[in-house]
This record gives sequence, C-alpha cells and structure tokens, in this order.
Amino acid sequence: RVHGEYISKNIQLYSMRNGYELSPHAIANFTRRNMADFLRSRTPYQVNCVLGGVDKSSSRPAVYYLDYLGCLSQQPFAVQGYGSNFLYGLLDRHHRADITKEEALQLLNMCMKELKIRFAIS
Amino acid sequence: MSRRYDSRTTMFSPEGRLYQVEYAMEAIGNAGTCLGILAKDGILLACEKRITNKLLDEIFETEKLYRLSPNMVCSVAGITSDANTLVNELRLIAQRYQLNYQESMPCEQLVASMCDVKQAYTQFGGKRPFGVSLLYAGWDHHFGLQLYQSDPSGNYSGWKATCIGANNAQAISSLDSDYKSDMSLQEAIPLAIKVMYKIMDQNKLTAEKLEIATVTRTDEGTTEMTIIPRETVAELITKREQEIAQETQK
Repeated sequence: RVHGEYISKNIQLYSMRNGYELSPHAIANFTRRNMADFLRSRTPYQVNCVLGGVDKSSSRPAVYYLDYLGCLSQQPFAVQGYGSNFLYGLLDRHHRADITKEEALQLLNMCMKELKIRFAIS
Repeated sequence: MSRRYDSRTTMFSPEGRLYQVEYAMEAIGNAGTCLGILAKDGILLACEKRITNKLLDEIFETEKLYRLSPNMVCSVAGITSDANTLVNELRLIAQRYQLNYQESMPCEQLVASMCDVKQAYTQFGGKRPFGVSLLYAGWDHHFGLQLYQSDPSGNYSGWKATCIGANNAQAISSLDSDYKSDMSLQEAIPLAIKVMYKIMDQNKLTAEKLEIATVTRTDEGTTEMTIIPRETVAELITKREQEIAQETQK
C-alpha cells in the first residue's frame, strides 16, 4: 500500500509541477524503475502489479505486467498471483486484439467464475 | 559605486542587484551571436563562429550547436568552457529522465531543470555564475516545436524569435519588424541571413563564420538537426548582398 501511495503521489506531483499528466507508458516505467532500484536495497518492495491506463493524447489503452523483481511487460492482458496459472490459458483462448469493452467484461466474468470453480482459496 | 558588493556572488548590492550575474551577462555581450527563429515547420538556429583560424583542425562538426537529447538541440553564447560544462549537465539531465520514464524529456522541463542549477550558483556555494546564455530548440508531444532562451541568472523564457550574444538588441529589433508568426523555414532562413548580415556590419559576413542548423520533425516521428552546408550558406549570403546592392541603387 505504501508503495502504491508513493507512486501515486509522485504522479500527482509531476502533474502539479508541469501542468500536464504523465503518460501510462511513463508511469509504468517510472514504477518499474522505482521497484528495480529498491530491489537491491535493504528495503525492497514485495509488490506485484498489474497496471492499466489510457494515453490522453493518443487515446490508446495499455495494460502492463510488473512484478516485484522489476520485470515490466506491456501485454494485451495481465495476471498476477496463483490465479495466473489458470487464467492465462483462458485469456489466451478468448482474447482478441479487437475485443470490445462488453466482450472484455464478459471475459473478466468468465475469469472470476473460473477462479471460483478451480481455485481452492476464494 | 558599491564595489564591495561585487565580489561575492551571493550578496545583493544596496540597490538590489546581483553584480556577478550582471557581469556574466556582460561577458556574453562580447561573444559570438546566436539567433533562433521558430517557424511553423521547424526551428532555425544561426550562430556566428568567432574562432576561424585556418590552422584550426576541424574535429567537431559544429562549434556552437550541440545535440542534447533525441528531441532537443541547443546553441551557446559566452565562455566556451562554461558552455561545455552546461551542455554535459543538460545531456545528463535529459538522459536521467529517459532512464526513469523511457520517454524523451519534454523541452520546458529540461530548460527549467538546467535553470534551477544555474540559479543555485547565484544564491549559494560561493562560486561564480556560468558566463553562458543558451538557445534551446526542440519538439515534444505536449507543445510541439519550441524555442527557449536562458541566461546566467537562471531565468528562461519561450520565444518565437530571439538572439543572444553580441549585438543581440539590434538583432531582436530587426526580428521584431520582420518576423511573421506563420513563417515557414524556407522564409526564415533568408531572414536569419538578413539579420546576421545587418549586425555583423563591421566584419564582413562569410560562410566560414556562420553555422546554421534547422531542427525539424520527420514523418517517422523523430527530431532531426540538419546543418546547412557551407556552399548553401555562401549562396544565401551572396543573394543577400545582391539584394542590398539593388536596394542601394534605387
């Protein structure tokens, strides 16, 4: 939680200083840089993240996978945690590049259902 | 004369002036002129080279123009060694941003960061200010093509057309009358030659003394600095001389 607040306050500071927001790409890389720098300190973050955003000027959406070791990857879909073992397969099967918002929500519901059935811990 | 307030850079004079900063600006007033013009399709930077000895070995392509980052270029006027230090620092600032955000640093942020460094030298540390003024030309996706100027006090501002170095006041008044907001680069280049010619009336303007570059945005989405070849500059100067000859004949 502390890591999340640190990142979000820094993002706000950037907006206040410059009058415009950081793009999702920049935020993702900034977060990764922060994660990677702290990794070899006495106080590494042990947070896995899934980042998502829409670029204001290009209106392009982006989803990122960021783990606690500082691995950042832009992907069509991302999962963290034990559920990823189940969900990546499902998402791979049903996701398309031109998927609509409604279809994506349905896919998300499918994923939640899958977890309830297959994953022992809710 | 309040001379005793001169030597400490960090002290105000009784009249509320920072003498060291003003002296730094004096030093720049004797240095080679740099002109910048913002056109709608690019930015033009024209610089007067002071060191033109034929014994000089031309190791570097340009004397006064430097590339700071993938999207920014600058030209300097003042003490060359100070300028080199500042350019190094600017490049570091730009790359640090790129390291953190994986994006090119927006122009104004780079200028502002550098100016914060310059301002520090006018307030603490006991060191003298940098005797350099810079013209920055660049592109970012927030505000497009931009032209900035900064001076030893750490002040900066954005310009459509400006000049630093020797005879800059004369150049600026000349630009004031001739600059048009929707100029293209093709129109800006002869204007730069015209202004440089006017302010260098003591020493004859030749192509060896001039360094002209344009900063443009390519279709692939990169920012390019193109140095205008010496032959082209020579042609433009000759053209201007012909125009002047015609005007005086009338």
